Amino acid sequence: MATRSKKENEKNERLLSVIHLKTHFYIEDIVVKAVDGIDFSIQKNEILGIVGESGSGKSVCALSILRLLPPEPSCKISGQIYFKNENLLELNESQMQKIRGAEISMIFQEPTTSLNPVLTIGEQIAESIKLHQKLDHRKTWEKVVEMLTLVKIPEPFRRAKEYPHEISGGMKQRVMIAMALSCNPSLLIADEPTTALDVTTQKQILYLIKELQKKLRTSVIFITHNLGIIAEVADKVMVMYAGKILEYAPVNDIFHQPGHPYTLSLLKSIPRLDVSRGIRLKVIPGSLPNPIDKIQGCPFHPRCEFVKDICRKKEPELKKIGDNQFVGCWMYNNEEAIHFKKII
Amino acid sequence: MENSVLLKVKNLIKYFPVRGGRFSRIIGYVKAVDGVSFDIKRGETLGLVGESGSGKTNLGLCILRLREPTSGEVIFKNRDITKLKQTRISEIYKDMQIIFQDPYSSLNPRMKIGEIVGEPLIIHKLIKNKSEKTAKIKKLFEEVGLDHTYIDKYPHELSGGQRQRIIIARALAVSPSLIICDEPTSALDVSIQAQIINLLEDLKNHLSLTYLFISHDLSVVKHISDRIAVMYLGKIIEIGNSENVCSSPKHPYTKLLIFSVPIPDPEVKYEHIPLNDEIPSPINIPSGCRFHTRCNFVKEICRQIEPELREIEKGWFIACHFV
Repeated sequence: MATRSKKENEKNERLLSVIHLKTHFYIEDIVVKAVDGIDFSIQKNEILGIVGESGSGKSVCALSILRLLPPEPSCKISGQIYFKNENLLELNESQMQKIRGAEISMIFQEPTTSLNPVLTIGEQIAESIKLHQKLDHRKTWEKVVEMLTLVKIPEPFRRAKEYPHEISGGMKQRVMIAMALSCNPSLLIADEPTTALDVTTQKQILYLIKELQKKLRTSVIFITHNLGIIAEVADKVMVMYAGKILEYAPVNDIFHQPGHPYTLSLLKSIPRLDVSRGIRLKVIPGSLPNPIDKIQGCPFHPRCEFVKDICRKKEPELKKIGDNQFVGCWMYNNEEAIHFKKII
Repeated sequence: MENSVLLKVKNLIKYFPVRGGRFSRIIGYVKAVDGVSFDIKRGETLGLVGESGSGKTNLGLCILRLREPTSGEVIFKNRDITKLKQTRISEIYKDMQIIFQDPYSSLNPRMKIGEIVGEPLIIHKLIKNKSEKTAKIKKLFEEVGLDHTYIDKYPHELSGGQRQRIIIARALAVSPSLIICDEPTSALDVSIQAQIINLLEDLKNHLSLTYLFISHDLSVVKHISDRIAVMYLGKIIEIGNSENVCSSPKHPYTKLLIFSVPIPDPEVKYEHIPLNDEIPSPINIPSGCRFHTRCNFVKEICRQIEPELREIEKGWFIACHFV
């Protein structure tokens, strides 16, 4: 009982809060509002899934947290990102460098292009260990082998001396995970880590990430377009569309009582292996919004089947509709709904 | 009965030579397609699934002779395509078309989309004059759900979903009876994927088409196909009714594939099946059953003797010693 409440406490401790984050790109005289005013937070020991289609701003959101975007004036990040009571947006480059890889690390989609082809995988893992932990050569190498064992790469001694082209895609992604976790970060951002992999390999990688998350008590932001993966890994889910959050709720609510029309339509538009054939897929009409176009009102209104007059004029704010469920939709425009920002 | 079979593939093989050493001699073969046989009935959709490297795309290309098969027969409408002379190949494209995966690289960026859709009509001399061409293009646009005002636009002005519609319209221009769809929805977003899947289903019903639907995504394949063939390292290891294959898979590999698909329901929990290694290279195909290196139920016989496809129920074939 005691251990459980300790775990609960740990879970309720906030690790990262993002307040009114806006990431805008300036290309000549065009403004691309990739992320346009989002608020969310992530607790310790929690997996937050961010789901969205291309152009929804999910990757830019992750890159903004790590400040891996081009400098001003071509890209402007505003708002606040509090990580362990520090606003990441106010740090200078060398302070930020101490956080990247050590406190917050990232796994990218394409393991093949993320690894340096002229260095052995051991050398690449050692690089971040040397940079952040200042270990001597022998200790570093021991740590490398320990990390490779942790991500279940067979024969870690031999593998550490191999080059990226000698190992398969799934192994490369394991190496990326080993590299990301080598300094024991408190937050791991995984941006579509399994999209380039086959289903069978994907399953293994998802299992590995979940297992390591439990073991190392790391918080994870898991970005994907695949709702099946979200259901499998996430504790909480954030549904993004056109740079905004449309719904933010625990994973069970998202799948069993989705609040936003977009979430609902998405769930009905995917073919499912566990449902018998003959059911016609629901179609969300129209196409994804062009990030250059300005949409007045709710960003989803041109494709929404429940669209009302107000949706075209005014943008809805996130409203609390359930225990922990927040939805940005005019359908829930009643006085009882508590303003989202007060809670976060 | 024989008449209802539209396409029959018999023992199709595609090997790519690997050269190396001094004088770049042939030192081995990549066995991309290694003896595949199946048939597709008129009006049916056969789904073909497999991981990358299983040879599914090569199989599709060999059927169309966009890649020359090494040996084997492809009998389409009672005619063996593999025996056709190179100069007469274009005849088959009047009746058989392909839709590619990537809508961004399969349209010529310098052509207006009206011209792209109209090109097959000119090549196959299906139109007499210009007005007939315009009318036909308009009709095709309507069929795939595109506004005809798009005719004078260029591919870069369109979104991924719209481009895929153009590619479908181009394939439909010659009124083919068989369309090979090679991962037609893999490059598309979730909300657009549903539009294209529904479009393909509607077209099939209206125009009585037959599809060979190639994809790595089992959920999509199950949704659209009447029958499913599962490919592994160049061979079909299970083929049968899609409901059967997906709800009670028999081959250990099919089981593994189906188990690996994430289900969009957080309450579905699975136990973890350990997987031995990844798909081996098609240059060194394992002896005996080609899946034995990853199979959890491997026995001595699997390492030595390659299992043949056996019919265990009507129309349901499995290549495993222990089913």
